[in-house]
Amino acid sequence: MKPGSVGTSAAGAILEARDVTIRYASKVAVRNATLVIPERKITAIIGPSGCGKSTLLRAFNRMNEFIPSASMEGKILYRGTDAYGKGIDPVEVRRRIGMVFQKPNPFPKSIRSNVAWGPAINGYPGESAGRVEDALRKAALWDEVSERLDDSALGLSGGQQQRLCIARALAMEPEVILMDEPCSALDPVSTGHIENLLFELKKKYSIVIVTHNMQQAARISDYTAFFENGVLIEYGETDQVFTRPARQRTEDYVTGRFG
Amino acid sequence: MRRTRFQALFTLALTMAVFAGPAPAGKLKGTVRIDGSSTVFPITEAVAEEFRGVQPRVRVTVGISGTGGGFKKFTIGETDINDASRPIKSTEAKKASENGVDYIELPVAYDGLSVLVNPENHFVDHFTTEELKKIWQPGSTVEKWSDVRPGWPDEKISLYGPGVDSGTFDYFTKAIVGKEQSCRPDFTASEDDNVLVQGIAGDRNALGFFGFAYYAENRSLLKLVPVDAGDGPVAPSKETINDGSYRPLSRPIFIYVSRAAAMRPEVRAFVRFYMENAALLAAEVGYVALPETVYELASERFEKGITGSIYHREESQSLSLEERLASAK
Amino acid sequence: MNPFDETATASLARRRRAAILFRGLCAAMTWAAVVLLALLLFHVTRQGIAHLDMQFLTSFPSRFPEKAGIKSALWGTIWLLAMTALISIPAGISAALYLEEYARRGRLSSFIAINIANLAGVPSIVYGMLGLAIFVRFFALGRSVIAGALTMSLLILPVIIIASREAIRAVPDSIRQAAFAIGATRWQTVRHHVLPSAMPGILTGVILALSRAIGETAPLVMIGALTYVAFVPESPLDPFTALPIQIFNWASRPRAEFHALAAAGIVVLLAVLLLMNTAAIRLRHRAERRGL
Repeated sequence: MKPGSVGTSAAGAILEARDVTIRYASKVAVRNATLVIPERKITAIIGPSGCGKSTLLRAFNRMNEFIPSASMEGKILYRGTDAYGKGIDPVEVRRRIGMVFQKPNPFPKSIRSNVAWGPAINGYPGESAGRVEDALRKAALWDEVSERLDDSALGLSGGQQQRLCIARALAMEPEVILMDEPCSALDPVSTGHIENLLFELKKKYSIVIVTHNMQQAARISDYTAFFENGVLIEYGETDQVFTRPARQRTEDYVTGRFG
Repeated sequence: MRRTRFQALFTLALTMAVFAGPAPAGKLKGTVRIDGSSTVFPITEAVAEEFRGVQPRVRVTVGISGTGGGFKKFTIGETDINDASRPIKSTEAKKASENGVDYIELPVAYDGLSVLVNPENHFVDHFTTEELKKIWQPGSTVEKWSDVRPGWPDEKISLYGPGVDSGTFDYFTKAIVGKEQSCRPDFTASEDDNVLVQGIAGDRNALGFFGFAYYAENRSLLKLVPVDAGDGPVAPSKETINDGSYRPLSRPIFIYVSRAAAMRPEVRAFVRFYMENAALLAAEVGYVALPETVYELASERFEKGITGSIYHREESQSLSLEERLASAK
Repeated sequence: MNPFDETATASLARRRRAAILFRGLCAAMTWAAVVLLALLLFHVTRQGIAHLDMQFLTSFPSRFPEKAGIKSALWGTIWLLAMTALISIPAGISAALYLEEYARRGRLSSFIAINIANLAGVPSIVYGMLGLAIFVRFFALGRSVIAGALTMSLLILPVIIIASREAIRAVPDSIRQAAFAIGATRWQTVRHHVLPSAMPGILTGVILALSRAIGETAPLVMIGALTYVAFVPESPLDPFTALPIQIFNWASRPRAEFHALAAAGIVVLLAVLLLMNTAAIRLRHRAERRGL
């Protein structure tokens, strides 16, 4: 099989990258990546630093558009529709494809308004308080913060802040949640919380998670894609990628011989 | 805490608003825009202040742009009246006629330029006009007192004078050196006459000149020097300025009224009030009033709307102010 | 026995001396500034104290020092500052937002940025000449409060723009990313997150800029703010005078009584400045508290 076009399982696809090449000015960050993200699964993207995995992740919800030097070729499909197509509003794309960042980045406002703001500006109908509680419950944060919703979000611990960011994304009722190394700034206990949360969330949401941590990828993901120097080397069921990799480079990486 | 402070501010604002409210009496309304010389300013200000008691709803504004700066605005019709510490120049008069501004020239008082030294200077008893010219002319070689008159000390003179944009500087250079703006450059110049007062008061070898009013307020700090124009030394005083014996450093100062503006009742009323009260108010702020007949001639000139300058007529070069006004009837 | 190495201790003593010296130097500089300011304040207050009463605040200028007041100048300055703030703050923040949030980073935007920085150093009289040519003459606003406020706005815009840009740039990009990622538009992001976070820094710039404006005389003289005005402006098109002009006028009078009036005027000017800065600092504290 040609690298970059590694196949995937038969599960229903929600996102698809087709022959995607992304450049920063003239530097290629992702080269001819083609992969399918299955619905209601956790897909991990692993690879050494600078391999383009975060860049690809940001391409899914058009966040690279805020980097003036970034340019993209190829297609990103969301349920078969070109997410970059004519007449598609990037705001609409980001509403359906949520994102959680590497460092917790709550707004410097109250816990409540962190969660309520997204639905409010997007004109979601219905009552805000219920929506806030629902999102916080889904993010497994409700019990810890229900008594102090109007306190500043910056008073929370790092792990709580990250779960708040997840709640903020969930409040938008997305179908996909993109996570860019969501645990890299957290301690092991908080990381455990988040990982448990992901297991819950995948019942309803499709999750793509970029991670440096191979154990984490092995623990939580259903599928794993391995990138190196912007090229997709191998993509398959996590179990297979970690125990019986098809390619030598993958084996070297997952067994810790380099990277 | 915050509330009380804002309340205090609000109360203050309210108090002021009440004070700003309209007062009774005086039917005229409108604005009289005046600009020009800082020398004439105190008189005009005094007139404006008193006029407000008569016509409180007329808004009189007085600016200080210097005689020349004021004429620049006056000759393009931006102001109604210009305060001038010298007669209008022919270039300024030309510009006024180009812009269709006819002006009525009205003398309001005399100002004496005083020549001053430090009170510790005991050797200077008077200057002749030739000596002053020798000191101040361009390219002057006078550096020390001994260069002025033999027998005076061999010490360096420090010179003080008003800024070159002032009518006072124009007048001094014209009267002493013979040509306006013609002056040696190496003197301490200030637009603020108080700076000159302090400079001369603190410098034993100082020599300077400025308006008489500033000397009158600072007599103890300065020594006034009489000037000899050929008839013996004369010190400036109300008498010597009034009778013309203090020369050539006494000068009439003027207001110039735009004839178009004078058609407006509020301007007309203001100028009449000015002419009626100039003698009293000029003296009050440190100037020398003109003879009564001159004010009468000036009022007549205004009522008749006679335009042009009495200084731009060849035949009247040697005449007194009164004679000039009378001949221009 | 001392477990700490002796040779290291010797050099430590030298380093500690240097540290103490530097600290002392910094403290001395601070105190020098404070003491000088206090002396100045003491001096003008002592000189002007006799005139500092309600009558001084509520009287128009007069040739009699005991009757003279600062009413028209005080109101002129309040009008001028209020209108200057009204014009320059929205304009300055908009320009800063455009440069930081919207404009492409390129030669043009850095060219503009350099020019704005240079404008901050242009002598104020130049702005006066510009204001005279553009606002007073070309737009025929005359020698009015609005012409003065527009001129002052030109003068302080560079300061506001530069300070606002710094403040906006200091807002972490992660906040913007977070907002975009939940479907916020650029304007929503700016309005709800960037501006509130940048507001304390922007207000600092505004305080500095308005403090500069309140004491400026040269551009006002240039556009023809007047010296004797015995009324309070009632509309933006009215003529006006301002505190520094009135103070300058009194200070240049021959009679010493007027110099005391000038000192009292300076105290009033400082009080207005203090009041304004207090208000701005309070606003800033509020913005900061809301942020955290």
